Formats: sequence, C-alpha cells, structure tokens
Amino acid sequence: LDVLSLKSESFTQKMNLITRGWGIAILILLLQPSALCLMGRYTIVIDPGHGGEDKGGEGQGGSIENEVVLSIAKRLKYELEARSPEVKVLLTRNKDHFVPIRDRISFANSNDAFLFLSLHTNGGPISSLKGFEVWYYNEGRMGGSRRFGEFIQEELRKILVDRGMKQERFLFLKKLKMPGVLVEIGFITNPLEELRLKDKIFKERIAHALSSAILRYIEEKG
Amino acid sequence: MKVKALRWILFGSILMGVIFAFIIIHQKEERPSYIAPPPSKEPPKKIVLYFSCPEMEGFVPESFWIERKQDLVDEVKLVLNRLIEGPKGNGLVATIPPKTRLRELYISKGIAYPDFSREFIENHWGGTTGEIHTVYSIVNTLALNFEEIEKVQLLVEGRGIETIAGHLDLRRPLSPNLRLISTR
Repeated sequence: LDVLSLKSESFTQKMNLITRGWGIAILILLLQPSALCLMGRYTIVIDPGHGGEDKGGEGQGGSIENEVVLSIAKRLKYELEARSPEVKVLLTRNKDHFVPIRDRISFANSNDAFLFLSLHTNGGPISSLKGFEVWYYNEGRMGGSRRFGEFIQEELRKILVDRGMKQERFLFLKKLKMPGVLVEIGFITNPLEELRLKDKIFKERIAHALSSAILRYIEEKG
Repeated sequence: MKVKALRWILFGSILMGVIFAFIIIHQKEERPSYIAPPPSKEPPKKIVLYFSCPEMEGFVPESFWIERKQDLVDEVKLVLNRLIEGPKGNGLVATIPPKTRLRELYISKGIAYPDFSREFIENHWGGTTGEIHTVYSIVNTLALNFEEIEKVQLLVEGRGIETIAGHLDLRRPLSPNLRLISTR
C-alpha cells in the first residue's frame, strides 16, 4: 500500500509539473508572443554512459550500468522539459547501443549545448562502497563546471552519501566547449545501492535532484 | 780531458738506465696478479606499494623489502607481481582485477610499459573510482619507487589501450598522482 501510495504520489507530482510548466509557458505566450523564441533556448545534453557491448559496471543482482543510467537519463529529460519550457534536452543515446565517446562530445559541441551531464554508476572491488561522486576535467577551459558540480552535490546530498567533487584527466570531458561534469550515482557493486537503483521511485528522485541542479545553474548563469 | 768526462757521463747514464730498468721489472714481478673483486652486494631496497584504503578515498602505502637484482626490469616485474598479489595488511583493498597476469614489461626513456593479460579489462569492476585506483596504484608504485621511471603507459595483450572502464584517458603515459596518497 505504501508503495502504491508513493507511486500515485509520484504520478500526481509529475502531472503537476507538466501542468505548471506548460501553464506558465502558455500564459507567457498569451501575454507576450515574442516569448516564443525563449522556448528551448537552453540545450542540455545528457549522456547516459556506456551502451551496447560496453555494458559498464555490473551489480551482484544483475543490474547493468548502461541500462540503469539510460533509464535515469530518460526520466531526467522528461522532468527537465516539464519543469522549464526554456530547456531542451538531448540525449547522446536513447536506446541500448554503443556510441563512441568522441561522438558524444562532438554531439554536445555541434548542438551548442549550454551544459553537459554524463551519467554513470560507480564500481569497486568491495561491496561496502557507497555514495555519489561528481567529477570534472578542467575548470579553466570549461569555466563553470565546478559551479555546476556544486549544485549537483547540494541536490544529490539529500538522497545519497556525498563522496565529494573530484578532478581527473577524463577521456572525454576535455574537448567539451561548455561546462560539463560526470556524476557517479551510487555504487552498482554495493547490493543495497543496486537495489535502490532498481527502484523507479528512487530513480525519479535522482532525476528530480539533477534537474533542480541544472535549473539552479541556468538561473545563476543563464 | 773532455773525452774522459764524456765517457764518465755516458757510463753514468747507462748505469742509471740499467738500475731504472731493474727497478721497473722487479716492481712488475712483485705486483700481485689481478683478482676480480667479489661482486659488491647492494643492500635490500625498500619498496612502497599503493593499495586502496577501505573507503577507496585514496591509497595507503604498504612497504616491503626486495633483494637487488642486476636488471632493473627484473626488479620492476617483481614489484608489479607483488602488487597483483594484493595487500598483506588488514583492511587494505586490492587494486588489480582478479586473475590478471603481467605478460611482459618494457622500460624506455623513462617510461615503463607493463603489459597485462586481458583479465585486466575483462574482470574489472568498472566505475570511475575503481578505474582510477587501478591505474594510479600501478603508476604511483612504479614511478615513486624507481627513479629511472617517470611515467607509465599501460598495455593489455601487447597493445596500447584507450581506457579500462570508459572513463580515464590511457592513450598517453601517466605521471604519478600524489593527491591520492593518504597520510594515514
């Protein structure tokens, strides 16, 4: 019953978001037709990591990273576009197939994205590891990545343990022309976190937290 | 008179030459024949291995001693195999995927090229944290223990690799990462 009530609550939340988001959009359009050009002016590229033969990490319960992050990415797109008509979300892949990393980057660059967010789940040799991490490549070149990461930390901290923001020489982030980060949403190698990552409601909470972080960044820098 | 003096000088010179030659020959005879010195046995070398701490927030050093070998490559291979075996200390976490073997090792111009078997990628647990700990436990262990090694380029089955788990850029040699070393 609890699960059912949570699901119906989440459905109501979703409907409220859509109604509110589009209600505001229609109102703006009625008052000022020029507002039409503001719709979808912020392109956000969401990159579900891995895909196809590159499955990524694997949990003991059979969860596979490329499927988990694709599912979260789709929810995030839905949530973001519902919350703000100014945002247009593009996914680097919308099904389970392999996309070379350089193609993901050129996709974001050629679409002149405002932000790039790569979604992954973490892994380690022991099952007790837990929490999320935010990674960025180079603050100087991409200016804004760190600030974007801080918003993500603040929002995700409400539902997951924060392992901090870290910097490393990543295979792909260095060629991005816009601020971009990689988020490791929990450890798929931890049976408890794997269970949570299977749960639809938990995935919606993650999507909500990430969309809040993106909207906060747009509000500050847009 | 002059002729007499010249004779004395000539006689004296010949006598001096004979004495000098005698001394030299005598010295040569007394010199002991060459015996190769016993190989100087170098003292054992302390090696620090970098394993992950239980929370995988960084590395904790674990040290051991090795007998010095004539060849640097043999020494480095010994150290890498010890890293593959995993930590002996309680609570530390292994960084190399199970069943990984060191196939070969090359060192050239300050860069070490360890060549691992395919299990290095196939049995990896994935994730950014997992990948970073695997890579830098090797790079730090080699570059911080051997002054002849500045950077490390990883090979798998004899070839360069782009990445292990899809995050870190491994197409070029890497320098050690000191930020990951815990002071615990």
